[in-house]
Amino acid sequence: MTASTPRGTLAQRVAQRSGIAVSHVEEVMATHGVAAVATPAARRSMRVHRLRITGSKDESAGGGTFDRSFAFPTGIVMAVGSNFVGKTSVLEIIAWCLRGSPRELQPNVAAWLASVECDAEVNGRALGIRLRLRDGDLITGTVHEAAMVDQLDHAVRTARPLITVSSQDEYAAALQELMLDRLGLEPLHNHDKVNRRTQRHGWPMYFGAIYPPAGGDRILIGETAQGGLAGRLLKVFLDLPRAAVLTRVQAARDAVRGTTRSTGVPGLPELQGRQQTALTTAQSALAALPGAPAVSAAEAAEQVRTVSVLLARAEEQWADLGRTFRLAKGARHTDERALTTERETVVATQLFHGLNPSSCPRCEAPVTEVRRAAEDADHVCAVCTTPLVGDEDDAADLIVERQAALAASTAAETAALAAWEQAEARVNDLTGQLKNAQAQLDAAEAARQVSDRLRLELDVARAEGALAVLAEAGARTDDDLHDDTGGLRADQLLAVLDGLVTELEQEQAAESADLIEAVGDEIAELARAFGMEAVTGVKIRLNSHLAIDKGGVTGQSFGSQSAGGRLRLRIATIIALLRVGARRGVATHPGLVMLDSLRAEEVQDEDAQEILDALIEVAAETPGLQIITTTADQALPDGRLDVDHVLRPATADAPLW
Amino acid sequence: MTVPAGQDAPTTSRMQDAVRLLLLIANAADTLPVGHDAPAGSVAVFRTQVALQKMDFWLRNPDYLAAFLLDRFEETSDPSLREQARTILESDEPEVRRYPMLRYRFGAYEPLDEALSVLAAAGLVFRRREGTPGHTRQHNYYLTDQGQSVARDMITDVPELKYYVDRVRLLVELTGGIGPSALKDMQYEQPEYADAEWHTRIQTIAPRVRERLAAIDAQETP
Repeated sequence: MTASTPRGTLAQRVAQRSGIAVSHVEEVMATHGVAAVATPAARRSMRVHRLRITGSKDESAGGGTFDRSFAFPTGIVMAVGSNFVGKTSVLEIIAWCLRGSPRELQPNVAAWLASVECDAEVNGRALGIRLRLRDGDLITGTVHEAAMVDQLDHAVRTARPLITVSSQDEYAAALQELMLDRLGLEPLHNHDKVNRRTQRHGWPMYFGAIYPPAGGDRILIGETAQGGLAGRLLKVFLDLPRAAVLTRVQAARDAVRGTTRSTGVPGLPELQGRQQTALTTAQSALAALPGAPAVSAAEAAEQVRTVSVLLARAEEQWADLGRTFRLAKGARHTDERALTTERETVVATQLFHGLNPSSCPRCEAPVTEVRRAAEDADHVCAVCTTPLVGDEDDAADLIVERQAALAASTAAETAALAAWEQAEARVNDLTGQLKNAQAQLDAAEAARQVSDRLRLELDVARAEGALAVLAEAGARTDDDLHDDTGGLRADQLLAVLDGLVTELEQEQAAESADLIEAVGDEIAELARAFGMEAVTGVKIRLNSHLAIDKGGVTGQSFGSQSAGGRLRLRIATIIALLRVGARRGVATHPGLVMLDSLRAEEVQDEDAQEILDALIEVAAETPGLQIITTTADQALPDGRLDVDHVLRPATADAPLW
Repeated sequence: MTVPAGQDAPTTSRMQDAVRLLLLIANAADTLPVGHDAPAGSVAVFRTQVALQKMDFWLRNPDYLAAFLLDRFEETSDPSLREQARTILESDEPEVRRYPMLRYRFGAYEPLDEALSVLAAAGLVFRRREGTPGHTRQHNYYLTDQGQSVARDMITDVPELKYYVDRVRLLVELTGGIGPSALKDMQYEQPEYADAEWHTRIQTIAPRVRERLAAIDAQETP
């Protein structure tokens, strides 16, 4: 599939159509990532091998722990069970693993889960997904890769994971990047006319074609009917040339058109101002995002835990050493006080005893000269005549003793203080480490903003590109229009984008008309095989949905069909994509389909049997197809599917898991 | 004459008590009025045992003195009072120089008799009762000229006792003109003092006063 035609290159054709110089057109094409020649998309494949769930149910569900594994062969796999026994949950848990988040898993059921293991294959590479959950929240998640599915166990035990996350948001963002990359898909853009802004739709949008809405829904494939996305999704899966590129240019065109309309007269300064505002907004939002984390959130969380434990121990030690220090200080105080007391007592004694005794302290009678002479001569007290015993030596010894005690307790206090200060330094160090670890954890948790970063970088690139195109246009006259240098006015830019859209649409129309026709024919044939005998033809419109010719009325819409009809057409569309893709060797749908409740309330018993029979036949003819489906009709698979293709509870009324 | 280095109840020696009392009486006593009936050789009189014990309490409990200094600082905004409190609180003085007293009936109480006998035997201070026999109204303390000169010369003769000389000087400056009962009321303002049970030792308030100083500092430098 190439873009060249006898009418010249894409840029030349757009230049001719819009009357703008080729160099300007090429500039606009470069700005919007439109390559001169389209390259074919890669082959796509996807299938589930194994699912294991563990956890414990609450009392209302009978309580008890569970550890259940399911194997999924290729072809059709049917989970059977009466209502409320977890068969839809099996699809939802697979969606959690492969879509990035469950679509509508009941919160109480999610809360039962402790771990989920899912082995799958995406574009020929085995992926081992391991999720740990608590109270319905994802706690940690890893995705390991191996060449073969049977090597996954080893890889999970020994290899570094492709993805390590510690929150639901992180997981969804990381899985989206992985899946879009592996399957060669681009995010889809569409212009939301009401809010006048461009929306980006990622992997969950595509997953809508793998796990389509239940029977009654009015959307063909995908998750939203907005902006003709279902039709575009169909075209991306049909691998129409540049389907994603066209989507992007259309969104850009719609954005410029919206701007020029709202201002009436295309005012260049205003347009530049808007782009400048968009640029500044995106740049400052980008700058406000935290820097890229050095470690994963799980590693950072582990570091926080480790340092917290060390810090708790260090604080305990610090408190212990603080008590030791205060004890040592108290002992030193006691020794110091004892020494002071002793010294003061000695000097005070010397002072008072050095004075001549003058009177009796009791009666105040004067001490006589005879008594004083006796004290000097006989060493008896001049007041009371008791013999005097000199104890100055004892006092001196005691002072030496007290000095030694004080020296010892002072040394002990100094040592205790040093140890305490050392412990404090360690606490401070660990507090700093904990702060760093916490900051790393915060940064890692902010990694879920990785998709924000991608989007903002895209916004910056777009605004810069638009500003480059618009640059200096205001100063130019009409004579300069065909000059090869310089940028474009808004109306000129719009003309180029309009030309690009038209050319790309024509390119698609020309080169894929028969492909689309083939898919339409295939859908019609399958619809008849599924029991819609009145369908005579189905056409896929280039810019919208299916047009169904049925019972003599042509061009009926998908939404106007009955619930059973919509279910049949939805399955038919997906199978048709696969079969046409297989026949023509082009990449299309990845081949995994999950259908909830083949036997839904809107679908009759015989319809379900009919659809299943048709699916079995189709699966036999379509290599690589894996359809995982559910039914409450215990008898439905009997005689139709092998036992290893049926997931059943142990007894008829028991829960599936 | 030696003192046990007990952990819980550090006590003063009789000689230390005598030094403190002599200095307090010598510095705070009033000149004897003419014609006053006083022991021979007396030159001044210190009135009431209550006042003496209150003053001594502050000498023996630097933490309470620091609190008193901060009270005075808050009343007068004189920063030198705060700085004197800081000098006490930032040192080990509240721990090393603290000799707790028993709480007894009317406040801090420790028998002064032994210390007074040291001073009386040396002829430095004499105690006299005022009032009729059996109905003692109060005790007065009479300082002799000998006592006055020993107290005056103490700072040069016995430099080891400089601490008490300086501290008594500060205390007399602080309490000049405050009557004995007012002194007692001031000490009751500290809950650790008022709440102490009879015959138990009065608790230290050093941690609380240190916090109070920190709060004053924080207020002054926002």
